[in-house]
Amino acid sequence: MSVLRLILGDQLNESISSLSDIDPQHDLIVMCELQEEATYVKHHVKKLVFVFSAMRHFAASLESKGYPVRYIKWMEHPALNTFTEVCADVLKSRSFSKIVVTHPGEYRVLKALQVAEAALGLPIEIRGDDRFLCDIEEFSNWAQGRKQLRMEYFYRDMRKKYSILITEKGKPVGGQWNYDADNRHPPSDTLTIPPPSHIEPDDLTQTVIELVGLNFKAHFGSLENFGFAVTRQDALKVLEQFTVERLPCFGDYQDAMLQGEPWMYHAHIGLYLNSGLLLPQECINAALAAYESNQAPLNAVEGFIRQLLGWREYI
Amino acid sequence: MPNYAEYNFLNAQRALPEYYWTGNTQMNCLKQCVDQTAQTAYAHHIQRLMVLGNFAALIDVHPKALNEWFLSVYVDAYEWVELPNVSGMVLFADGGILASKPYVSGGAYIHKMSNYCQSCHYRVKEKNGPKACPFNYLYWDFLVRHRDHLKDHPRIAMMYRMYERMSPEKQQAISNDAANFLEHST
Repeated sequence: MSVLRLILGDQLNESISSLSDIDPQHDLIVMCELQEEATYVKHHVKKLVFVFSAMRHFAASLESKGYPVRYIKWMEHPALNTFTEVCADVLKSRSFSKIVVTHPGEYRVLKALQVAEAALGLPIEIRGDDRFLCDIEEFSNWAQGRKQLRMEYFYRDMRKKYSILITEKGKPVGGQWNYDADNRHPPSDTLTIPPPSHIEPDDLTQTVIELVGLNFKAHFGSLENFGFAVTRQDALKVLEQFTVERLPCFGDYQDAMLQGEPWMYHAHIGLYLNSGLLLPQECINAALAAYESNQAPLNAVEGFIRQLLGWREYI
Repeated sequence: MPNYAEYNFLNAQRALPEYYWTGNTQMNCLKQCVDQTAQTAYAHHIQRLMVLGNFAALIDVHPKALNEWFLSVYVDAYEWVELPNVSGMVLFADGGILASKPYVSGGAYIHKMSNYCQSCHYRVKEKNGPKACPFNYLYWDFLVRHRDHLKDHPRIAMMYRMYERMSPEKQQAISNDAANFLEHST
């Protein structure tokens, strides 16, 4: 029996759990640009361009690989404003045995999906999000019995679990778990900060920029000079550029702020990780490779990995 | 954590000042961070935590208002990542589940880690008076305002001892400057 596979705007990776057992002959992937999702807070217009364009590129790449996708563009069907309404509309013309979706990152969406099951009269299978290196159950076990949670101890356990920057004797490489004391250099005016990655918008992104410019006038921010990656391929290039050009100084100047230098030595990959274009493990591996080939110092690599393996997983 | 969004340990009630959207303030660090955010939909973690978050915590911005702002303006912001960072790390709204203490400071650390203060209308070295950096007196006023919630905290207790050693005139000046600022500039 066919399965309806719902992919949310921050789940743009082919390895996402909702696609793991997909049957391209019978199943249908559904993606949608929803008014509710785009307007429940006044998102920055560049964020809307990024999300819509990355979704459209991802849908196109799935289709080019032979997966059937029903993609509902912004205002294509003004009456369809929620995931439930979209699914109900799809169900009018086809029947499915169930809906499969990966656990949403927003509690609001999770609640809506749980209610939708009854409204649609169809089972909704909500699968774990395996883009995290520590799943919810594992974290609950860790947290049990602790009155206060501290990221540092969680992070050390994760380092051990994945043998990241751990010596053969089970000790942290360099002798310390955390090199933050080295990471608080004040900025100097003589720093030469590399220009940020800038991906020139393609036709599809250009279309989305125009759409957002027309429809979201009340939202915050400037649309000018959009240069984020919107495909996995380009996001990998941004990661590569970061590890070569910025990571070596990332640690030292992690806390520094200079007027007119928004990007400093930071990675600017959070948006790709959080939308699914990049996976945490590959970012950690890229930093480890830079350390092992002596292209970046330990305080930078440890600090970067702590953001991913410690902080990101912890929350 | 479904209830996490409802936490408001310090009972913060202030609306978010308009300059978080417009950048229209004489505090240069805030202005630079807001303007940059409007341009790029990005700011790095210290700008978010030490400037934008710190200031909002110092003036008791309601957790819902600050959460909504962070969720709206950053290209990488989704609820699962933004809520614990803002309510937990920035505002201490969870009372210490995630962070050991509120992430608040005066102007000195911003001055050390940036060049924002050099071209600011306010003077970071001045502690009181019309030209003093508002972070400086707002920091002490925040501690005094939330004494009941924070005084027993081992890492903050030292700050209360410092405050107790200040002259009554100095304590009054902090209170007056803060009251004046909160009334006219938030």
